[in-house]
Amino acid sequence: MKSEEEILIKRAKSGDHAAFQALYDQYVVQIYRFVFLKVGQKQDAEDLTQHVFVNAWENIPSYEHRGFPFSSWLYRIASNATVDHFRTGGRTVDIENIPEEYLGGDENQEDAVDTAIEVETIKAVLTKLEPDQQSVLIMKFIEDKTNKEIAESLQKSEGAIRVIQHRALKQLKTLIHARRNN
Amino acid sequence: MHEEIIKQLKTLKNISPDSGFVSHTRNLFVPIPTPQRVVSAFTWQYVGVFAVVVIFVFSIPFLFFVPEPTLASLDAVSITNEVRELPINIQLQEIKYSEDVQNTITNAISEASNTDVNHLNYMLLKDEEASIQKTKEINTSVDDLINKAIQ
Repeated sequence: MKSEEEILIKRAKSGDHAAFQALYDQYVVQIYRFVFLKVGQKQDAEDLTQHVFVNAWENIPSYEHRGFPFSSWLYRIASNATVDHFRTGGRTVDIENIPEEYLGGDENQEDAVDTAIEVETIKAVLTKLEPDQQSVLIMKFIEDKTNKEIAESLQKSEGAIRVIQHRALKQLKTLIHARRNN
Repeated sequence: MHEEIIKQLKTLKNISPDSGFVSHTRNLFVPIPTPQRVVSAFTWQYVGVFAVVVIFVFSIPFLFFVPEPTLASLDAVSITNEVRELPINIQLQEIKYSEDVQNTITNAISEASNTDVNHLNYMLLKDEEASIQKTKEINTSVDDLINKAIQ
């Protein structure tokens, strides 16, 4: 029996706009977050997110479901898009002003400030990591993906993902210490 | 310390795109409705009727034209009869004529190439003359029939 996502994918492959919109609704936030944490700019993140979904829509007829969530394919497109973005002159931004509009609105003011500081710190150091290290940390700890899914998205082995994750956390720790000491 | 970092990373889950951006991008995947082309539909109807009329007009000569002579000449029975009635003697006469011509030519060539003086022999010349005279004989019965017909 096929999952609901598989049915949506099948319909989208045959040109069903509504089915693709359902997939878009399901994944747009996490793809945007993934891209934003890599490029650090709202406008670039929006442009790249749009590019990811347009690219996915254009290429979905050639998509082959291999048992992984559809998001694995979207993350792969997004990862390539961000690499191309930096290759063609894009730059990471060390966020000094916290973009409050990106933060949840349920917290009270004090918590919001604390969260903002944490976000500022972690976001700033995250952009200093290698692209693969960024991808692994975002997908593993922010999007709660399994190593298998991350490996599929980044076209690497699960062993390689574990190594990258370990090095990324170590590097992140060093960068956070350095930032706090400054 | 890793737990602290992981905890900080999880705070980034609050990042989300503008709702305006989300809906704007979503609209990129809405199928664009094809405008109703009423006028075009009518135009196609007129084109269809016009095409039918033109085809009918051009097919009139073919509908009312009966090529009888051609059909008659293609009738297998009449062709067979016609072939049977052909005078086969024509061929036989042609063959005989060809043989005569060939003999005459052969004789002429052999005579012309003969270096002997036999042809100057008086007796032979007489014989030849006699044979020529013989062929010159006039069939008077034919003349008589013609004269009767004239009268």
